[in-house]
Amino acid sequence: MSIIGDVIESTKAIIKGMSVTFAKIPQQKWTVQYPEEPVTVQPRYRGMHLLHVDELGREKCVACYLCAAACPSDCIYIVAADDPRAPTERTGVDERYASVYNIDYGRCIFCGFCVEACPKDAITHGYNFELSVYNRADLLKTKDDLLITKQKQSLNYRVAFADEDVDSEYKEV
Amino acid sequence: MPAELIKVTINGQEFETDKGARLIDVCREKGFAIPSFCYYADLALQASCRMCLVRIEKMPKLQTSCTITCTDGMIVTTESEEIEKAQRGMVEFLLANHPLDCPVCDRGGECELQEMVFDWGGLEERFTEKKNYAPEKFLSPIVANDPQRCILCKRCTRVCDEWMGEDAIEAGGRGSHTVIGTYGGWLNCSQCGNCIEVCPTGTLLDATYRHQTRPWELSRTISTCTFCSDGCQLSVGSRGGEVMRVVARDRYVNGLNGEFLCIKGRFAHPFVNHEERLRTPLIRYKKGGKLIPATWDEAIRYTAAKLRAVLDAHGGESVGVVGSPRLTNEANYALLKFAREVVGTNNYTATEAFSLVPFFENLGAPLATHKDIRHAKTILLIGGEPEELQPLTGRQIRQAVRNGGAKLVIINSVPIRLKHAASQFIQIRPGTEDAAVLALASKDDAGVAARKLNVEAGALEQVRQHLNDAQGDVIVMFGGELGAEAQSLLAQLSFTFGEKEGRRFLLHPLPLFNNSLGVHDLGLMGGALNPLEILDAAGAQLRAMYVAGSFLRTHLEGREDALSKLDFLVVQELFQTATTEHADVVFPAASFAEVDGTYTNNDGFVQRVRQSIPPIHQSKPDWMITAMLADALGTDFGFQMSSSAVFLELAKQIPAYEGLRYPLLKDESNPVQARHALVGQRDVSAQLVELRSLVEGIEETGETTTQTPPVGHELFKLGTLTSKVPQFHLLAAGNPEPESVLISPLYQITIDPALRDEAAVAGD
Amino acid sequence: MSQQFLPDNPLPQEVRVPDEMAVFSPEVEAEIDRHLAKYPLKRSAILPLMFIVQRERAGFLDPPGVAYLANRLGVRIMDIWEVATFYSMINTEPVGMYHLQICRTLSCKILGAGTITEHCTRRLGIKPGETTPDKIFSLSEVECLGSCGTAPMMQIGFDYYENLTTGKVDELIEKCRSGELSNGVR
Repeated sequence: MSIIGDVIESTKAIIKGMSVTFAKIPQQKWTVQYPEEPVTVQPRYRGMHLLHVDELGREKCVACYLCAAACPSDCIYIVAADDPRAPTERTGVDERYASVYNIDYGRCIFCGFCVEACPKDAITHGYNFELSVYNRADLLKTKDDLLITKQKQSLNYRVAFADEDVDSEYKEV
Repeated sequence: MPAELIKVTINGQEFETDKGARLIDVCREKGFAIPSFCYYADLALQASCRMCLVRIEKMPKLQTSCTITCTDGMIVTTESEEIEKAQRGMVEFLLANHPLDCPVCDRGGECELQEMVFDWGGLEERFTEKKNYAPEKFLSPIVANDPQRCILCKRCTRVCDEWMGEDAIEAGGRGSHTVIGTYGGWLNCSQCGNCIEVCPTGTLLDATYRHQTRPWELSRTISTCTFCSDGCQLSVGSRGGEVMRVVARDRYVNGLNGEFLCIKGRFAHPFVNHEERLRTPLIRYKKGGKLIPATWDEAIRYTAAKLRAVLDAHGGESVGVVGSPRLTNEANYALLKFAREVVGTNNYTATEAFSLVPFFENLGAPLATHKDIRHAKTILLIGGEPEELQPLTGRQIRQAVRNGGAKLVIINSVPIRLKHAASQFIQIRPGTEDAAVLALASKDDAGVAARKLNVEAGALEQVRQHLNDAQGDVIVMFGGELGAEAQSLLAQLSFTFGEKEGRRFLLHPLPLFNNSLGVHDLGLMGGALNPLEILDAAGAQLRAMYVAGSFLRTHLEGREDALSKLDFLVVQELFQTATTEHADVVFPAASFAEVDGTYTNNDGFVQRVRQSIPPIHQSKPDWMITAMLADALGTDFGFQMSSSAVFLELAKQIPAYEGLRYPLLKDESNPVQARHALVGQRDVSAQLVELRSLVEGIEETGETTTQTPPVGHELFKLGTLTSKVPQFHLLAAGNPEPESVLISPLYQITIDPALRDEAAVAGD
Repeated sequence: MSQQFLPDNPLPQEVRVPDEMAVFSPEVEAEIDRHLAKYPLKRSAILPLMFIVQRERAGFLDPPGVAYLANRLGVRIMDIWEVATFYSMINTEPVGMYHLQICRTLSCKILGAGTITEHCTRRLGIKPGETTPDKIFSLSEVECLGSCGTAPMMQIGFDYYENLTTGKVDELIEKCRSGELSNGVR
């Protein structure tokens, strides 16, 4: 093998490879420039949980523990309490409410069983997905982090429209 | 008597069963599940839920199996399309007015109605009408009531009537508007909470546990009650190191108490996690100074050094060791061993309200179990008030009278509530109970006894005659009013009346504390001094004292400063009490929910106490503290930090407990009775003479009360433990009705601080 | 269980009564005695006695009245409560001068008892089960009063008013207001 032969072979290979690259440049790109650009999440994406409130701002959760019972990774901890105040002044919709509601995101597997189990539609999955923390203890999220009125929504996602074809863009690749 | 056997065919299979057996019981026993709500084996028949329908050949229509007694050749079908249709229809009716609030209902998860619907599935509600609505309300500080969840099985009303004899709740109204309620809307009863226990739905709920947690979140530990001497078995539900609730053991197991518990057993548990629990060992470095928190090492070292100094200076006899009938056998045994082996003193005792030593020394008949009481034919009760002090015994007596047709004879100075069940009630002068025993033991002294008792001699003669003629079991019960001689004579009463075919004497003492019998069995009460004498000797003969638990209020009355005269006082306690006020070192002890051990109840049953939560704060089990202290003083007890090792050693030492091991005590349904040595007939003439002179010395004054004491005059009394439960403060204050029954009275009524202070000095 | 109600087997429970007890005039006592004499068992007279006590004690069974009954009949308070709440003619709560009891069972319901109740509610400004603030009218819905042939009907005191229309109800209410109508009880 001569050096010239080597040069020709490798140049051919480069041209072959680069031709694919140059051919793709004008095409639409699928890579999302996160975090500069928001990520599109599907409407049923299972992100960080949300605890909902009713129209008067009272927590919907009645601390029935069904989510904790349904949880396969046992990451939900609830302490129920009694609220003797008048219905309009209460923390929750019922006399019974959760004084502590913790989800340990170190253990949560985002299976959605808690949402399925909830008889009051009080807990759903939100879209927040940026859960990384510097300290493992911070993975334990309390009611203050989970309540829909208090949870800070990330600006780095965009929920796909119901009729938006989110799936097919990945199929092409 | 062997029961006659008859043949019954159930679903094509032939079975043999006892004559007179209830059909539903037989079917269930043979493995055919029959649903039911209102049927409760122990109670009167109701047949209101119509769930237990079966087809019996040659009978028209479906029959309720809970009201049918098996007859020979009966052919029964329990499963068929027809029956299922009928039952499904019944459940649909039951659910017609039942709200769908399982998520907030405290019964959810252990609700019989929920289980039934869940098991069957596919139930569709066809009623579109509006359901009856009634808000959840409170019937008392500890009973919450949600009328709309009621399925009218009336278990609660029957339990209230038959077990408690109170009839405080009843079903009022008519048709679909029938509700369980009480006259005036506010429950004034002994607040036993048995209605809550038997309720199959969430109609009657524990207000102290209301909206706290869910049943499946609780870990359940079978343990023994820590209040009275009946030793009821209970199930402690705990979560995350906190005792959330206490319920009775299990309705389907024929245990000691079934589903019965009293207010103390069921509701007085919050003391376990109370914020006033002692957290660390405390040392008072200077007399009159403050108790300062210390580490365990420091406290043990300090105590050992101080005790060593007293021992060296004054000898072993200068140290008193005081156990407690509230503590486990293991703790008391460790103390006894400490007194004998480490200190070498005879000055030990227990803070027991009264001594039963003379009784056990002359024990002439076996101890009666609660089952014996239930099936007894004659019951003689001298003094005492079981309904308030030993509620399970009270219930058994009531059941024996009501369902077993027993004759109840009561000799008491107060017209106690049980009087209404008695066939003979003899009201005597206060303080003359000994004279009643004299009259029973010796016929010749009946005259003088009757004069002292202020009763007609005929009445006492009638009792004697009654005991003489009695058939079946005769149970003799007595309270703490009896003196030593009277106790000995009573223990020998079976010999006074002599042998008779078909009659058996059984004895049943009524001590006040959960392990009263245990301290007697261990011999802790057989020390040189009794609790009063040990207090009197403080400062004189005794220089130091080691007290587990606290002295009772009755002990300290008039001897308030006795403990301050000591050079050194070590106390192990749950809370600050009148005894710890003078203590130099206080060790935080673990409560009944945090230790393993045994209690001996008034049947002589040795029953397990099991650890349900880890010890609170830095507390340790009492026997462990004693062992640590002994170790610091140079004696290794060899307990190896295991309570079973303590019990093993105890069982080797104490004859009545010989051969007992923890594994043998495992089954709560079949409790093991300690083998108390029965002495044969003894010469009790000396005691008789003594008693005669004692009785003759009684003054013939003293007013008899005609007023029946109010319900709960003893039950609701605030002690060191019960005063930690806010609901008890309300009850002790006369159970006032709040402005609104929709909100817990705890939020509406402020508790009088004076009551709390009074409770703090109660000390028992 | 059934044993418990025989005359020679008194109730095993203690009879606990409210502190205060009603006192009646000799004529009323005589009437009560007359009723008691009719029955072999004292407690059987509970219903006639309840009517008498209710009549004498401001139209309802107040605690002193209940105490009197319990004492006189030797029954428990709860027994009286059970019976009293069962019958709609016996009131456990204070009622107004005129107690309008509208039948709501089938025949009346079909022929417009609902309209009558609604009309009364509007006219009097109270819901069934309530009493007007001036203590003149009480309104309640009761089960069949046995006058189905003349439905819809209502009962005021012990008197029946039948074939009701909204106009007739207006008339009745006016008559009550003016005091023309006897309330049948007092």
